[in-house]
Amino acid sequence: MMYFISDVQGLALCLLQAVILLAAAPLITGIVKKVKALLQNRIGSSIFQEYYDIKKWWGKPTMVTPYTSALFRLAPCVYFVTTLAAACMLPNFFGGRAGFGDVFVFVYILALGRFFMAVSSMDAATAFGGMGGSREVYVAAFVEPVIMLAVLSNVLHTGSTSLSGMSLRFDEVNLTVAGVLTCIAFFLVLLAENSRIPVDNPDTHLELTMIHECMTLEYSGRLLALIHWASQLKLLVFLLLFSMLYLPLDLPVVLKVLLSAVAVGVVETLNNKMRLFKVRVYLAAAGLMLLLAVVAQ
Amino acid sequence: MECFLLAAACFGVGILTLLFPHSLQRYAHWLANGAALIGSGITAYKAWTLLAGASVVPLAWGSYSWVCDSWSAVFLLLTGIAGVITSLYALGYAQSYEGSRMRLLGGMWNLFLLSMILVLLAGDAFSFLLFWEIMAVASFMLVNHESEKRSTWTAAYQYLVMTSVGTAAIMIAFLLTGSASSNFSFAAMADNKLDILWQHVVFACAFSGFALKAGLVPLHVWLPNAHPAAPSHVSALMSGVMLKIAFYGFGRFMFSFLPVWNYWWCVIVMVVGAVSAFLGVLYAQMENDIKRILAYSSVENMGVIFAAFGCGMLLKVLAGGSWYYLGFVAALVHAFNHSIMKVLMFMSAGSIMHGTGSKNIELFGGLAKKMPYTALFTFVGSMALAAIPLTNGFTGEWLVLQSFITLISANSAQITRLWAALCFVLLGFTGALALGCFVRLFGISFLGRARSELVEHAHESDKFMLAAMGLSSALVLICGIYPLPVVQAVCAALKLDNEFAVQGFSLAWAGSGSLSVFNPLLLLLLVAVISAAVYLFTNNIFVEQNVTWNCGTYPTERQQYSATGFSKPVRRAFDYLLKPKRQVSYMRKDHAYFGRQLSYKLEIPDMITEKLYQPVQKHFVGISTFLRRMQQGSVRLYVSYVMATMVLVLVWGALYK
Amino acid sequence: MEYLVVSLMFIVFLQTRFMELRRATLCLAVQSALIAAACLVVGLSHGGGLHGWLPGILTIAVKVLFIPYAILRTVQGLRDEREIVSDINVNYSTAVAACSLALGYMVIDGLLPQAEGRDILATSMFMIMTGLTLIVMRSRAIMQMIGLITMENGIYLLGLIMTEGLPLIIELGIFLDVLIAVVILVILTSRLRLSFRTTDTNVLDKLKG
Repeated sequence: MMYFISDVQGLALCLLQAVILLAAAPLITGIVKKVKALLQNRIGSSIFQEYYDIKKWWGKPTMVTPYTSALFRLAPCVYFVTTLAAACMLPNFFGGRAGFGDVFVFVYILALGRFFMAVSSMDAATAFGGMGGSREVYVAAFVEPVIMLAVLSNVLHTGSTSLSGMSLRFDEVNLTVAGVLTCIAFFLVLLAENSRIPVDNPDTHLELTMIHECMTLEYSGRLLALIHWASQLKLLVFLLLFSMLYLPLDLPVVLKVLLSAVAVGVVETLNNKMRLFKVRVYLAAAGLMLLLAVVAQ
Repeated sequence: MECFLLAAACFGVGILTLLFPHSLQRYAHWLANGAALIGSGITAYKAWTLLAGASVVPLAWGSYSWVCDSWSAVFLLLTGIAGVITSLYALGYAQSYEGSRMRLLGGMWNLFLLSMILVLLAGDAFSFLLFWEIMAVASFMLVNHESEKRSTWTAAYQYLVMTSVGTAAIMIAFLLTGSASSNFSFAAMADNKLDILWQHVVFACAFSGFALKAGLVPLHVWLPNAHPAAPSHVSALMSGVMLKIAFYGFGRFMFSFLPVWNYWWCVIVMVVGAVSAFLGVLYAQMENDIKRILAYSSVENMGVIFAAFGCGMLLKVLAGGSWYYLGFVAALVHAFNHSIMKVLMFMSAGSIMHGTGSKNIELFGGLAKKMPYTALFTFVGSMALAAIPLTNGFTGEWLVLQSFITLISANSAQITRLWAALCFVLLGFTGALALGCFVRLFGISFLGRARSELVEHAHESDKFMLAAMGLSSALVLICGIYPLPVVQAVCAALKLDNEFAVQGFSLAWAGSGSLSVFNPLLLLLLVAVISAAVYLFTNNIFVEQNVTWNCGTYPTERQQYSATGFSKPVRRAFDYLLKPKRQVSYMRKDHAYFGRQLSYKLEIPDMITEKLYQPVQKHFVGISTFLRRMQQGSVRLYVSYVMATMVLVLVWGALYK
Repeated sequence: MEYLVVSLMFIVFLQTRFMELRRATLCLAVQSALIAAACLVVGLSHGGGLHGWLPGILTIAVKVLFIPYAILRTVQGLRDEREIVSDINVNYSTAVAACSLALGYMVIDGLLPQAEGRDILATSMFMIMTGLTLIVMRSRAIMQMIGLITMENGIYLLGLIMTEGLPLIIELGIFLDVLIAVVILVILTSRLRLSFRTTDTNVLDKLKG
């Protein structure tokens, strides 16, 4: 029981960290959008625009169709909750104990969020919803094994599947072939998981270019605010993971996160969204790179 | 052993209800299912006390014996719990079989449960094979219960033939092992003196026999046909328990009779398991019949169990040390969890069938409004089968993944790492595809709008069915949040010292270097705290109801996604594996400028059946037809065969004296 | 004894040449009489008494009198057959019989060199083979029956020679004859006649699976 109580204390610290990340997440997305705008020769909106958007949606009423069930209102909350829980599992700034935050639990709790979102996409009985859901599970079918492989190469390096354990061991600069391959591959996976170009276009609402947006097309008001905030938090979480565990540069974490956010913006501008069935090739390439990295170790 | 005899007596009473007259069939139904309930309950209780440290005196007469050791105890617990749940369900469900051989259903149900328990208790080869065959026959009778339909009896016949082939292989394995030991009891066969070549043969026979019964690719073809044909509670028990009994048999062979393992055996088991898992879930996502989806999902989960077992075997063979057993713990925990999950899902499939009268998910949609409790329980079951945290499906998955990580990071050869990494990737695919499969199953059936008028007349299930489903959902959630009793029971079963560190309420594993911890209770606490916060914020949002914007038109129910459409991206992604056959034909044209009527037919043939079974079948039939020429029907010809043989023998004897 | 053997060989050769049912039956009777005589000789040479005479008397009663009588009775009822059946040419049967005699001698020399009663052993082998030949090469049920009984006579003879004294096996052989004669002969032939109006067993290959 003593362990449990000190676990709870550690949990409170993690929760605090997660709330800080939650507050910072819209800023990072704003930075990405600003980078894209500047590269496209526009001024673009300010980097704090996401905060204003969330505040705007928060105040608006929510509209639901009469065909939905209680799941419709539950799903964004669950998505938000699971993303926040995943953020709690990140290695602690405060040097918390390595007792919480196993990487498989991390991946699968994000899968819990994805499950609820995909199920809720079928709730409104529209064609867009089903399309979003089916594409989302298709992309997930390829993304998850590749994330597992990335995890695997990391685990082989550090010897445990605990996230804090992994970050504690990652202090040396890892410029080996395996390290570089893993870094690039995880970046590709990051883009896929967070619905960025080249896998999905987070800015438009056109049928051709939606996967994540498609699932959430029916949402409005506070639920939509929760979904967007959760997506931004997920991006930040993945960028943090990338910076802490894969990027082989010797900078403080905050700088690495900003650098990777800029990199995301640059990659999004330079590429276009690929056809849906090329995504498997893309992710298979990432997977092969990781497999090579695993074998090379 | 007295407890088990008492349970057997309960089942015996249930079997005797076969003899009730037709007018008393309702009483027969209540008595039979009640007896099954009590018998399973006694079994589960006794197995639980066994795992907690009690021991059981074996019962022997002559060279036959009933023995219950710890490996049996886990499976007895599993059988007992699943038996309790499904018998409770059957109390409500089987009422719809009134007038259609209800007494046979009740009696055979008890016989099936009894034979499974006796297989687990058997202490020598003959008892094992006897009760195995009784189990096969009882399950055949149950699968063939609605034998008026052609699909039912063809499926049952296929099942019977295949299970006989499996039993033949197992029999060969037992006989070979037994002939190399003093007698046929398991204790004696444990010190057998088989030499290496015969050990390979025994492994091959035992693995193919038990893999056939467990439903691993490529011997799984009976599963997707037999499970939809059977009544739902029977499918639940078959999927939930009978497949695990095959795993029990395989484990007994590996642990007791073949104690020294060859490296390639382990790799074969692991790879076959991983491939079954992947192919199983891939085909699951392509099916439209609820029960076929669940049957393929059983193939998938048995694949995961065997892959984990193979991983454990490899760990033991290669690495030694004291942490090799993780694979076995993972396999057993996943087996236990899967039986509860699968039983829940089959019961919900039965509820849907009971309420709507169909199994085709393309005809459903919006059932959540008509059957809210069933929807809730099915949702819990879908979450569990998709290995979502906080349900017990994830505990097994976590342990399996940890065992693979341990294998890869153990100092083993590069080729082993490659095998293990490939299996790991396949398991990753499996997890993700399972998520998609169950999103599809739940979403298409229960959410959205009705796709046909079957939904209008749907009704909720009765209280027994709901109680059973509720009980298993509760178990799913409880075992997901507090997995320690199950894991500790499994460790006790494998007779391991508790190297699973018990820190509070978490599962901790130190095998692959440093500590990995999984603490579901903490997770639950976290989720609860955050949910409370979210609830506070979204409680009083202003909600307005209006019809979906559909570009100006009124949305119809045909505009929502169909089940086939939902799985299309995955189907197209794995085109080269599935090889779907499409047929589009142009039927007529109503208008000069637009409005053609097309007919579209999509069929996904089972590749294993087409590429493996049918050529073999054709070959056999061809050879048999050729050999049939020997049988012309003329007695004189046959006598001449005898004469020719006799002359030959005599001449041979004379010449080579 | 040698005379018995030679005349037995001759009779069996003659048996293969008869196609008519009555003559074949009479030949069978003669053959069985010779066998019975052999039985009497053996019985008397191993000490007399009732035990020596009885098998011979029984053999005469069953094989010489009862069975040919039963066959003749059945043949009488066969007047309304459908057609004249065609058997394989008798010369072939005789040729095969000759070969089987040679084979019999060869086998006996190979298996049991320096055996007493070499001729009798070879004759019994010859009779067995010829009986089988008759079954294979004749298509009428009665003729096949005659072949069967010939084969049994051969086995009986073999048993007589191989065993010391006249054990129970001889009596059992006699009773087996009765069984075959009554059950198979009468029942098969009459059923065939009722169903197909012929006793040509070639009609039975309609029954193949």
